[in-house]
Amino acid sequence: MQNEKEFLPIEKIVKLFPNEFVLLGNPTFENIRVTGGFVLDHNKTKSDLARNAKNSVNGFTKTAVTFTGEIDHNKRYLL
Amino acid sequence: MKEFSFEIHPVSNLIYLKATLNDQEILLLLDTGASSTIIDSSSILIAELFGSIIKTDELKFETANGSLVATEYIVEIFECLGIRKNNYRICAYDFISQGFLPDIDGMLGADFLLNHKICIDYPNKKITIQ
Repeated sequence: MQNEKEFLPIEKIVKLFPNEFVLLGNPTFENIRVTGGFVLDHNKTKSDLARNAKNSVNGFTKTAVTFTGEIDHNKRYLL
Repeated sequence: MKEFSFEIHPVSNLIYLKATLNDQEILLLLDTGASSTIIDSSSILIAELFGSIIKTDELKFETANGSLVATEYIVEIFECLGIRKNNYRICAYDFISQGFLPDIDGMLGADFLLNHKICIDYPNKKITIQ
């Protein structure tokens, strides 16, 4: 399965799937930032992506979900 | 003593860390004021594909915005800051449907750090943990 897919850098993933949740196989990181991976699936909602994940992770030993949209910088969180 | 680099989350100003839930790579905010580690339900669903995750209970949490009900799970492997915990209890909650930050997978709470000495160096963005 992995050989059929192409490893993509994060810049290309963001251009191809803007404002979506993207499930990546064998993701690479620089510190905590995703730098690339094999795109296994993408969806506007994370819950749908997760529900379909069992059909797309075959052959991959590690996965990560990355969000390609902008986060609201005007919002503040009191945790 | 182990040292790790971290980043500051641009919106919440909290510490942003990488963790592993079974073989699912996730991003967490460190919240030492939270009593429990809580993970987005979708991340739990994906991590279930890579290892055992057992649902145990439903727990009520009191937050600054009122109370919420989260589901407790026992996760086969949970790893963060170089600490690996087997059969670790975490809580799951649907962060996204509640309009929470879409770029994170959860919060690392004080329960994970209870038996460790931790030093946070904000200017140099380093955490040392023992």
